[in-house]
Amino acid sequence: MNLISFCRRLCAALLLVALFSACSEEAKPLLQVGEKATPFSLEMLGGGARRLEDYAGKGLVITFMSSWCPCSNNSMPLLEQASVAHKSDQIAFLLVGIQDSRKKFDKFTKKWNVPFDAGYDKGDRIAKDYGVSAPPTTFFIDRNGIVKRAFYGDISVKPEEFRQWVKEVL
Amino acid sequence: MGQGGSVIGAGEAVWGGFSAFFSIWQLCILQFSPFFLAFIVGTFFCTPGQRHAPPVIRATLPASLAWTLSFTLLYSLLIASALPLSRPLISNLGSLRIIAGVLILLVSLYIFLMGRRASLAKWHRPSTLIVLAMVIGISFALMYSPCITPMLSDIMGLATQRGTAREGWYLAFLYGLGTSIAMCAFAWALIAVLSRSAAVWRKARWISDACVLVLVVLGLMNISGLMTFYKAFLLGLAL
Repeated sequence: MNLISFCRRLCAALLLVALFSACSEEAKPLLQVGEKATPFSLEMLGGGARRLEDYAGKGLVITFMSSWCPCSNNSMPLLEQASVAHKSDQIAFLLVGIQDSRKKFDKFTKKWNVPFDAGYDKGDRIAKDYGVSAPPTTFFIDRNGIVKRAFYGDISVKPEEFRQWVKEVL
Repeated sequence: MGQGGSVIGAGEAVWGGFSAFFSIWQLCILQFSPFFLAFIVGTFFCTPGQRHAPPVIRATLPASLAWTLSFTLLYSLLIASALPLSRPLISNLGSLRIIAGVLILLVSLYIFLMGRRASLAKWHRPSTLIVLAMVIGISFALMYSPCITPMLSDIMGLATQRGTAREGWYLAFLYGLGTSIAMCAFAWALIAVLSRSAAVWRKARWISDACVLVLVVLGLMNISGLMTFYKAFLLGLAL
């Protein structure tokens, strides 16, 4: 087999690999402010599952994080403080582990002693539905299930804004 | 608007991207920076029979510009998810990343063969390098999952919402341009240093082959979906 023939076969093989591999589950663009939050069923780390409907009538702060992400780690204290401060209010906080192994994300929640619901998004299915490409990404959803805000990155750099956004969905 | 409505100037956005390259955020940029260096260095050293350094800027500027434009354009479109043009790209990102991996493997093959077959040297022209650099730029933009720096956080707040998507795209383009300029400047400096050494020229094929290997690893990581773990590993170093 000469070089050109070899190259042709290699290119054909690589393109075939690409075509066959291209049948994966695809992502969506980021959920828009003003849209209805997409329904989900999240496997909780403590067992069982939570669905979006379980939070009906309450504000919901849903944040997508990974254990390896420095910004996710930086954001945790502020989220914890907010969840404690609003414990008796009609608002829930939900932590969703993405782009991570379940074991490592479980360790992450134990390390931070997360005082609110935390689940693992196997295969990043919910993240894809919400259009989340990188952690941390946080959505503020009002009691009618409408997305009021989306924030990308380290929440700890905007503590005042974060507190205000939480109040907006109360 | 997703964010608090921050106002970012054009120069500020370019500087934000440029300075991110020389900051702790480089850990995130390592998703593509060593591979860009492998491409530029690999193509610089792969010409068979070459024993002396061509002028660095003349030899690498066209490819660097082509890479910068293609990478920055696609990178900014992928960030501006609310633009109609971006939606099909994002919807098919999983498949596109696999195709990017295949393209990277094909570029690696080109560099590998170019260093071995004198008969192929006629193909090793600036126009070929420009096309390859564009392919690499597009592939890198597809595979790159940017970390959300404070400035990028504000830009994404604009770029991901319909009402402000154009403004956000423009700022994301400038931010990506800043990072790309820093990347190219670093690559030129590296090649300028390497190409002055006679010992380096004696090992030119070895260097070129090492660059091919680095690109092959990247291509395989894209195809297999291991890029996520690579990013997790890099950013885990900052914890």
